[in-house]
Amino acid sequence: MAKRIIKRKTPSGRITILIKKAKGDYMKCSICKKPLRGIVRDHPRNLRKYPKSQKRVSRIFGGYLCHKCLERVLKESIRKEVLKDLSVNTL
Amino acid sequence: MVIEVGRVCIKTRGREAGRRCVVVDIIDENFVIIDGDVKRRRCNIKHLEPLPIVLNIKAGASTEEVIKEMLKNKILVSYWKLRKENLLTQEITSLYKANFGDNWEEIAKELGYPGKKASIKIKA
Repeated sequence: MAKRIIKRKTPSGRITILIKKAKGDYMKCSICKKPLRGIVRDHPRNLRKYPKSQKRVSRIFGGYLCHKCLERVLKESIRKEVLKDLSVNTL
Repeated sequence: MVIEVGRVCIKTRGREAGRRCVVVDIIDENFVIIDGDVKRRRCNIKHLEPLPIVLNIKAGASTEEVIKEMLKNKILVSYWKLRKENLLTQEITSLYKANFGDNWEEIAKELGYPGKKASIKIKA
């Protein structure tokens, strides 16, 4: 929900209604779904006001994959390429 | 021995992840000095993924020697690195042209700079 309603008692005893906006969720790694570090947490409607450096880290796939998943993906793809290369050369 | 002087590796951690580098010197069992398409620096061998290519360089070779040897073995070097080290000399550009064709400048610029872009392909 974008907004939620909170009831608060004022000092005079009256009950008022507060309308609060949703806060937005953490950015998550698209593979392991864990929250990404170093990236600002806010609702998507507010992300426009932050500089680019606060919305991603300076790594390939920074702001999309976490460092552990990136390392695993890199190693897997490198080893696959190496094996393909070696088999072509030996045949 | 897998980690040796002249071994081509790909960095897997940090800002330079996905970029090619060459082992230039060995400090101890954990650390080496690397150069190539990255900043010349000390690096833990846990951050490196070795490739089946060994270049013919001496221990402690200079950046220029390393880059020449990389281009001879058809390993891409980014435009960023060449400009950073003032290596856009006629010798290196002609080497690049001989190994990667006339549109070498586009290929070199496509590699971007650390943290921006990197390709995982081993051969061009």
